[in-house]
Amino acid sequence: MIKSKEGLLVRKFGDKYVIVAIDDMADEFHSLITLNDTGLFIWKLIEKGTDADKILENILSTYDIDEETAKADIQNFIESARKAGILNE
Amino acid sequence: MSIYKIADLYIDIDPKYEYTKERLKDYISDDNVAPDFSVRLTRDLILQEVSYAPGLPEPCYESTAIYRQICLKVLEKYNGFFFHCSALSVDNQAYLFTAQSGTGKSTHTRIWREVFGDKVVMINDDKPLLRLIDGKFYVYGTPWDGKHAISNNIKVPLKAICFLHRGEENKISKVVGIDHLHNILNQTIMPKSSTSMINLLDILEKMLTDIPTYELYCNISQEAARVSYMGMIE
Repeated sequence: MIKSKEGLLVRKFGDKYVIVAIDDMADEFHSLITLNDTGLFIWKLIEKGTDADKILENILSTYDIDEETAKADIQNFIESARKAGILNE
Repeated sequence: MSIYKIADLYIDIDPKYEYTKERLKDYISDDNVAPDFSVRLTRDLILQEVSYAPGLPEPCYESTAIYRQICLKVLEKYNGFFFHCSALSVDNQAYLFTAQSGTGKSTHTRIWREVFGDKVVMINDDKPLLRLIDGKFYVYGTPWDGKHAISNNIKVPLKAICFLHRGEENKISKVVGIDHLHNILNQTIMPKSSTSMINLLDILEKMLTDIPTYELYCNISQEAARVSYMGMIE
């Protein structure tokens, strides 16, 4: 199970989206993460709580993308979010 | 207590130390008006400053704590934010040079003064405030003006933002501002409250859309200032 930590704000910025920290999370996370539309789609699932398989399922039913590419994209996304310290697992 | 006028706001501040009073003195206001807001420090706010930069004399903490409270209030209610940069004015248009500390912002703007002389008016060498008023951005001098204490109590329309890097040669190019949010966030005070954070992102989105932004690679030479100026004047 993967879920985003509390205190993360997603906001449209230009033609992309950004994640920044607020409240107590601001003490931990000083950076920002930029998301494209697919990134936002994945993040919305992570906000509700999900896992890699469910994300894959959702991506495949929404986007025209082959399974291998989608898997790699999801893995990359989770890896960078994990590194940024914004996930509860 | 005294009323100070900073960034067109009347602020009631009660500095205890001579160091802080001296720093603020050019901004004291005789206008007989009610303050827009007050700044009062608690021990916790001082200790917070100590934790950011341990080992400084006590009066420094009072000064930075006051400025932090002002910056947060300006962001919360007055459509503005703090931007760590060296800000100068030419022909009443403000140019902002930002970079990580130690890159050479102040050195670069010092060269502008050497090359262009009285045409250049320093707004603030380190910590100006920016405000969005009636759809336009303005840069304000503040009492917090860096280690060389170079600033003027003025308000200048914002013309251009320049991300400064050291380079062997002098080269300037226009960049897509909206892609450089991280460069701005690294050089401001990030608020904790979600309303202030949303204000900040909204202001920055407008600024990075409306205001031309540049990337400058430069060495320490008079040519650096000429290349920089010619690249941005248009």
